[in-house]
Amino acid sequence: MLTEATPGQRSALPVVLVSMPFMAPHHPSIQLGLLKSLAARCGFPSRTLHANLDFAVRIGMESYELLWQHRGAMVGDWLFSLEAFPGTAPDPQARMIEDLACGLSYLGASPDEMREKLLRIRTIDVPTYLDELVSTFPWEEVAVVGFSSTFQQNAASFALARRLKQRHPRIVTVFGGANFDDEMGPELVRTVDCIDVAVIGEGDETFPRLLNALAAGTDLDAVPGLARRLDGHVKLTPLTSATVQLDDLPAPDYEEYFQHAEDLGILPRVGHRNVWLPIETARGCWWGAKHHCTFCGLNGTTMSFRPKSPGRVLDELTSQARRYRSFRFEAVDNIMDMAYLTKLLPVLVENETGYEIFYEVKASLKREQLRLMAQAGVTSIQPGIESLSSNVLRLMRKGVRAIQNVNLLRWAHYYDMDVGWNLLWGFPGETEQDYTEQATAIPHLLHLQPPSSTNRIWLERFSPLFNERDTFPLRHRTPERSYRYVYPDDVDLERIAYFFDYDLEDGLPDSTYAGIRGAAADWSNAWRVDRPPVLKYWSAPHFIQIYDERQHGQGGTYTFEDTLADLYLACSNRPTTAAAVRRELDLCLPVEAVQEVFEEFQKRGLMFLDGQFALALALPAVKAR
Amino acid sequence: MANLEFSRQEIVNLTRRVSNVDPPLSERETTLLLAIFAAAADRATPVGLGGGATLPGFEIRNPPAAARTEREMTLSDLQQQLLNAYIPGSNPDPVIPYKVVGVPVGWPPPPPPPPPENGD
Repeated sequence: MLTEATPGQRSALPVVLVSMPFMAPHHPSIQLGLLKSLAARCGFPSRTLHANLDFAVRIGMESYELLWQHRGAMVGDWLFSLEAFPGTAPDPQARMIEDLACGLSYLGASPDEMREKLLRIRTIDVPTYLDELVSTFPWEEVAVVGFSSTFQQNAASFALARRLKQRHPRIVTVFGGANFDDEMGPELVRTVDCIDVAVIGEGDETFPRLLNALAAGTDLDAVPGLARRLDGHVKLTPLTSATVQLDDLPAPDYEEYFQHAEDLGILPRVGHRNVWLPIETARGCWWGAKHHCTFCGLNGTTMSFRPKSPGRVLDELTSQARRYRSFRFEAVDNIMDMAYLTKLLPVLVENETGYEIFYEVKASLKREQLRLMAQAGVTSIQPGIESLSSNVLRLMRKGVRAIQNVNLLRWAHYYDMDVGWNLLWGFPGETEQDYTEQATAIPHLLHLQPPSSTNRIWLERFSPLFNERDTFPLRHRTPERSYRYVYPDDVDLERIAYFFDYDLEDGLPDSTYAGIRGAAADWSNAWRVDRPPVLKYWSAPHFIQIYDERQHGQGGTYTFEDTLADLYLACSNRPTTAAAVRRELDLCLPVEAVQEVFEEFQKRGLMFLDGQFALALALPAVKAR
Repeated sequence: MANLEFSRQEIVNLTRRVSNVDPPLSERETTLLLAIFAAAADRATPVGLGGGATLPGFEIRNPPAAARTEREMTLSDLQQQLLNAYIPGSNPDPVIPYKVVGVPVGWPPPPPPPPPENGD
């Protein structure tokens, strides 16, 4: 039974929530903002501290950007490992710089410059930063320090917690976030002694209950979802299923972020801010709950989909825009609720709001849905395209065909939406043909937005590739190599790693992907010019002209009349089949002849064919209807 | 409308097109068409030595709204059009030359004076 703390006890438990490097510097942490609001709602004096900003300023924004954006070797954690694990850090001699040199090329310096730079940050900037952080903040007034840790925030958080515990032993350190989900949290609690308590799983209910127990001085055993050391062992209180209703959560409090970022000169002090405000309109993944994409480790143990009501989202957009003077919103959702297409976005259109919104979406969106989104202010999307091969998409359980991905790229481009997407390979069961076909098709797609990155898939904890060993046999699986340069020997890396190195039983050699890698590079290069590639059409009844300048300086025009024009235009809005087009146009031509025409269009790079489906590739020249 | 001049080859071509109509014409439709051709032949005036002829001018009244089906082509027609569809040549987005000269004071201009009434 949980004893409620009195208001006096609560007000005597000041809480600071900290975001350490390497969290993104250009927007506030929604984790901190939400926990701050939750703590404040329960009567606890609370504030946030975006300490990541101080470090970004110290080492220079350019270097910080490279480090926080990187999702490969754990360089960020490595930089803080000496301070996180003094005396037991595994790499005081900085062997990682040489051992993983090929994985550090993203830092963009010569090997000597890179070594010097990393060593300077590790041995000078990091300790100085931590000293200043401990000495300039009134920690003596603080009872609880909460750390939210995702990706490479562990070591920096441990480093600060260690110093705080040394100087202010009565401070209770609480850790949580994605890095503490499932078995990762208990293992870190077991091996990192500056962690007093860890919240395992979602913290919306657990964190306020933990604060209540600390304020009331009651046993933490009554708080579900906690891990802590007790008598030399890790004690884990039973987890509760994620049942929090998102409408019940307060709006995140970003006040301190803006104050701090403006004080440090990261953001200008201006009347109108152009900052992407994180907003959570849903948690979990409705697609993943039905068909978990084989490579995806997001959502950890909480896949069930829980959206906010449209009314609540509208209210939050309004109140956050007014409060922080920015109209840009980055939805942190893993996937947009399809119900918003009928219940939220039309209201935004009707209200003529001036928001710019980013959403992750399913790639099967249709033209009219993308048009609505654009009208509602969704200017940027991440559709999870991942491949232009229907066979590979089937293997990854994506639930879309390549032709739907292409159609999404088309209409998103037409409606001026920025599309962030990746081209991935390395899936069990894929064939060489899957990649030769993609490499052949890519030159026809140059007028569409190219992938942001191309790579072999990572093996992530919680993904089906990780969990379903029988379905996806691996020759070997070990924690990603750089973890061993960060964590001491007594940390079981198998239990704390999120990324893993692996070899598939039936994996294709790297040479298989040379063609698609080269085609994708050409695609990206084609967009690094003032005048990106073009494939557009003008049409009148039974007449179409298509202007093709996908190859720079090699423009030309196709003119089609009557049946040919009708056939092409019938495949423009969405993927369709020869039989359906024949019916729609009431043609006398046999289906085989229609299919033959589609193949002729494909030969000219004017159509994308995928099984029995066909899609015109050109976009209307007239914007945007 | 001026008289219609045509050649023997055009008649041959037309006959071939009619025989290829899909679905084929019924017997009655074919008979009707031949009768029309025969009547037209009676009115044709031969010109020159090339087998050509002229017909008196005519006017098409109430053309069918859905003319598209008449333009539907055979696969070989489509393939032919595909072969000839491409014309190379860059078509950069044109920069339309224009100049804003400003709006004259008092715009819009006052209405013109009314025309003099008859009898003034």
